[in-house]
Amino acid sequence: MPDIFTNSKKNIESKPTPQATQLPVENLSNPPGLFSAYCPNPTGINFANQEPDENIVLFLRRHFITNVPWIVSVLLLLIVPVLIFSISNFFAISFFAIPPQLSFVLVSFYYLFILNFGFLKFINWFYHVGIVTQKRLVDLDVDNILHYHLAETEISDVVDVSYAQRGFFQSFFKYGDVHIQTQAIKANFQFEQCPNPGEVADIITDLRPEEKGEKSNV
Amino acid sequence: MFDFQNLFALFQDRGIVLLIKILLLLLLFVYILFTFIVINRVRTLNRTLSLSAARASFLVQALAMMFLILTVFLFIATLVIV
Repeated sequence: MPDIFTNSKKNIESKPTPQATQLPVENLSNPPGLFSAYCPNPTGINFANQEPDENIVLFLRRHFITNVPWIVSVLLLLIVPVLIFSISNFFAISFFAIPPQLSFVLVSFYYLFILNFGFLKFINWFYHVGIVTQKRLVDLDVDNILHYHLAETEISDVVDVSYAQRGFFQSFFKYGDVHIQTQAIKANFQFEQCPNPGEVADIITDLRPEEKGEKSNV
Repeated sequence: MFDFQNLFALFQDRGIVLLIKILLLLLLFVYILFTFIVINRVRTLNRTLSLSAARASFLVQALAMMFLILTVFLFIATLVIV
């Protein structure tokens, strides 16, 4: 008589149990630089409410290439007064009949304004970070100097991790958005424009308890 | 009766310079308040996220303070030399 049902449990038992993924050991001491955007196992970084036994697995910022538009804008705006004065001197045109002391103060104020604009853009990039620990995800979003938003969630609440790379620059410079879906009642997370989004998604996925084999006992 | 002679005098060379000076002082005063906000926000962010590596937090705070000092210096310069 042919077997209609065969117990495949023996085959399942013969499969190896998934091992808990570990990050490379050689990166255990890795202090991030001032402009680091992707730093696994960083040292010298602490965040508010960090527990003593909580280690940072991954430190993320937006890719540095995302700063290029405002850096170019600042550089162009810095040379505008020089261009105006050069043109006015070359053609012997007097644009402004104002005293030299006042023009000095006006130009100084202009440069101060432009440099401060660049500094604020740098702060927005510098503090816009994502942190992955072995227990939770922390997302600090600084949209502008008057608005920032801090969100965190437990790793065990992560349901799904995906990433997307759109357009030429994201493909060329290898950065993209990592979407982290959490349990329905909580907000979803997004690490925007971070370098190596595939590796980031992989690391977060590997940190989930399901991936560490805790569910295989059920 | 309104004195139009004085109003026209205001828009002569010295009057325009005076108007620009007052406007600039007002802008610089608002700017000083804004730099105070920036310094406070940087302090708050440093408490939330401490980046002791490469002395980054200290550097950003020092830069914010430098902008405040420059703005105050420019305010005084506008008062004195213009």
